[in-house]
Amino acid sequence: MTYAEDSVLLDVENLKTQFFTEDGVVKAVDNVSFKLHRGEVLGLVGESGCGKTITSLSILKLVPDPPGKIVGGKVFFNDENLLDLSEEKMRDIRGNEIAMIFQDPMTSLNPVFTIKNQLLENIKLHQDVNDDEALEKGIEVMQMVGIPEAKRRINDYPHLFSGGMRQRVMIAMALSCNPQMLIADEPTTALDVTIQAQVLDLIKDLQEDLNMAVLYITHNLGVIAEIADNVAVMYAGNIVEYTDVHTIYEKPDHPYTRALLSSIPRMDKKISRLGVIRGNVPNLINPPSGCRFHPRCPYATEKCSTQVPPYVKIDPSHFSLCHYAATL
Amino acid sequence: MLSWILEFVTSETEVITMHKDEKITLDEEKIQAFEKEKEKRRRAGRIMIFWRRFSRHRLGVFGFSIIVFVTFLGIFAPFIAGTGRLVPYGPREPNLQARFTAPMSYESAIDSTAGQELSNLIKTIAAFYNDYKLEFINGMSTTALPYYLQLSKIDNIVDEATEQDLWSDSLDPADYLNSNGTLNLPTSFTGNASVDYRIGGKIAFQVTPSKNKLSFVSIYLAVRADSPESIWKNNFKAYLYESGSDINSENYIASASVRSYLISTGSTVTSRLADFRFSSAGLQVATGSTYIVVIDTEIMDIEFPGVSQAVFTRSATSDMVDPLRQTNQNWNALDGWNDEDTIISEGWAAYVAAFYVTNKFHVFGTDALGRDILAATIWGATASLTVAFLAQSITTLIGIIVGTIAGFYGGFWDNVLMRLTDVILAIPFFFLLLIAITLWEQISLYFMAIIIGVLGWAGIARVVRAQFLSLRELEYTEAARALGVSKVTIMFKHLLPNALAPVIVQATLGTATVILIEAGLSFLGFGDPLAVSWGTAIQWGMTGNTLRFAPWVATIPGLAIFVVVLGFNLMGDALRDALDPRLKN
Repeated sequence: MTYAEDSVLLDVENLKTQFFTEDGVVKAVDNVSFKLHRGEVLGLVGESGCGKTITSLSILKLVPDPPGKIVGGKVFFNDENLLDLSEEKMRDIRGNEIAMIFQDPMTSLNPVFTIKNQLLENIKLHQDVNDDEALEKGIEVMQMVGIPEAKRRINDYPHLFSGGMRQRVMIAMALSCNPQMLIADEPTTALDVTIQAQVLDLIKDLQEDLNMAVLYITHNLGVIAEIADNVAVMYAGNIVEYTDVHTIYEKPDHPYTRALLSSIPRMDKKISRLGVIRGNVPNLINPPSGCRFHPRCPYATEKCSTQVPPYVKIDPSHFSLCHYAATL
Repeated sequence: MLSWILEFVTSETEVITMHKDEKITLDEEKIQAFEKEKEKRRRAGRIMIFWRRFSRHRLGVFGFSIIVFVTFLGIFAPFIAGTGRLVPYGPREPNLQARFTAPMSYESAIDSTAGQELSNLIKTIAAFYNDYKLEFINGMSTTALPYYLQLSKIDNIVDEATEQDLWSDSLDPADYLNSNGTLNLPTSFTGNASVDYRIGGKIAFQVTPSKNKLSFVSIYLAVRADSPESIWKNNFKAYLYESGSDINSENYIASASVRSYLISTGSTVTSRLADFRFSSAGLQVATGSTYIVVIDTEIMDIEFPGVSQAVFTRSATSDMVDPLRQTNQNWNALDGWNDEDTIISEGWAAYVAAFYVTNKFHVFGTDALGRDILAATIWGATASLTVAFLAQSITTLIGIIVGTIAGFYGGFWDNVLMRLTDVILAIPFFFLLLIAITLWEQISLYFMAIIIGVLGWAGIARVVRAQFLSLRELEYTEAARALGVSKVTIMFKHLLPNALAPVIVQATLGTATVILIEAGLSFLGFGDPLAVSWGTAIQWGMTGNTLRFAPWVATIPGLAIFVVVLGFNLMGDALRDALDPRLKN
């Protein structure tokens, strides 16, 4: 899928986020660059601890500080570098232009306030509306995310909602200010499979209706196939491969992506034994030299362990962080 | 009448039929109400759920009631205890006539019938002596009366007058005894203003107190004229001379018309011989009047020593020096009256007094200075609760702010604030408090509350910090930040309500501690010198061996402390149960 040049909404360039701990500096996000266009769904995939969530938090400048710190790079949102903005301006953007939904709907709602209380607070925080208008808007977004009897249920407390419903409420809260971009941080992980499908459909529908850009973070490749237009695969703080969703399944280039795909069962191919990625995720305090994947890579050579690989452009929308891209 | 009955009956049947007709609709209403209740329960907010749980906790509600009651007493203390109030004494208005009065219930105090006459008589005499004020304890003069030893116990009345005998040896004093305990003079006489009339006699009595009791014996001497024209001039005097005394070595000490003896448990006073006389040099009496000399005694068995007091009242100008001693022994046992000595002494009528049960309204008794313990207990609630609530509010406020900042920001500020907390916890609290209080000379209740509050926040700060450490990691904190809510709003609006449950419990239990601390400080004399606190009142009961013979002085304020602290603890426990998030509704 191609996008017009001027439709770029978010442009992350060489983002570096590090955590200064007692054991040393954890290079959690290292030189991450990607672009997100209006109306695009970008899936950010990777195993636990590879820096997906930190990348998304860095965009919103929500990295817990201390110990975390964004040490370099630029995050352009509507041609404005978010990293240069003051905390106050950043608060205007959060929730208003970039909204975020979280992994665990059971704990992402404050148990002591009603839904109305929490939903309306967000609306009133960012929009110049009175109470009645805010309530109207709140009920509207609740209906939009498919909560039945929204008028009545808006007065309920979070504990009266099921997990899927709570996630819908979270989505409603995120959408209540018509954001241009939504960061969804594993929003379906804590839900069971049928509810997952419902929530995914909901996000996809709303994204299409509102022409919103979505940064969808997950470790579930199945979900990516369902929802994403483009996919960025992360490994140990780097984006190792970036391409559209079809290519990632049909012609994955990076050895890590390939290994990842070979480790999940597929309906369209007959595999007698699932693949295994040997070894462990590297410690990001002392990441491996050269290519960070080389200790686990079946194709690794001498060069991989000494030289940092460049981004290789395989075709206009397909990049791979490998010395031997397009040759393996 | 009939129509009224008919009306009544018909209306009754109407009611019944109406009831029958509406039976079905009533059920529907019930169902609707039930549905409504169900919906209300479903929608119940945290506070409602909490209240439902709390109200189920009976002991907690009991504790809460105690606190409400004592708070009410504390707030309205100036309207409850004080001059002219329900409790007619203030804690700072000592009733000097009633020192160490034992706690007594109202009923037992008024259960006395005899003595009306004497009481009236003494009042009459007092009325003649305008210079001297005979005071009666509030409301006591007419209803609560002393009771008397029967005169039959006065086994001997001996005539010992020296001049102008009104009464000769041949007369048997028993003949002049009235059944009500009064003594009639054998003859009527016409007074002569230039002559000093005296009536003399001796009484001897024997008192053996019952076991474990003390007896308080007093003798009244009064003269009554039955003619309204009779005027007692202001030099009416009565003397009681005590001879053969083995209690007092001074012979002339018993120089009053009222003399009382305190006879200790186990000891017997036998054959105490007392000479009594009264002189009436300026007496103007109507011809043919009859005079009655009242010689009366009272014995009170008292549970505790020092319970009742003779009401020795005197005018403000009178001195307290014994008039006989002032005039240097104008009477002695051998020579009798010395006529040349005229005894003129101010304040004489002071000794014409009644021996009263004065504790009608001292429900909880009095202390050494006659301060009402009930009044002190009520006013103590004001002092204790003022300090407790104010100090605990300060403590909670500082604790919440410090704990919130330390827990939410973590890192540097956490370190600084928690080390400060550790320092405060490391120094013994009471010791620190004593130092702080002694540094300032003037201590008011508010000052004490502020000091306690400023030094006592460490516990709550720790609790709040611990709560925030876990709360800040929860996703709704992250979510709130991702929605653009500022940190301060998140801290105090979003997270604080979630952290409050243990704080409320801690603060409730802490209030009890503050009450104990305040009482301790007041007991040690570090409290507000102008306020009466429970600790102060306990101190009243601890001086000397007061605790031995007047235990109520210390125990009743102590009980007040116990009850209130218990109330706070019970309520704290109930709050802990009601606010426990692990217990699902």
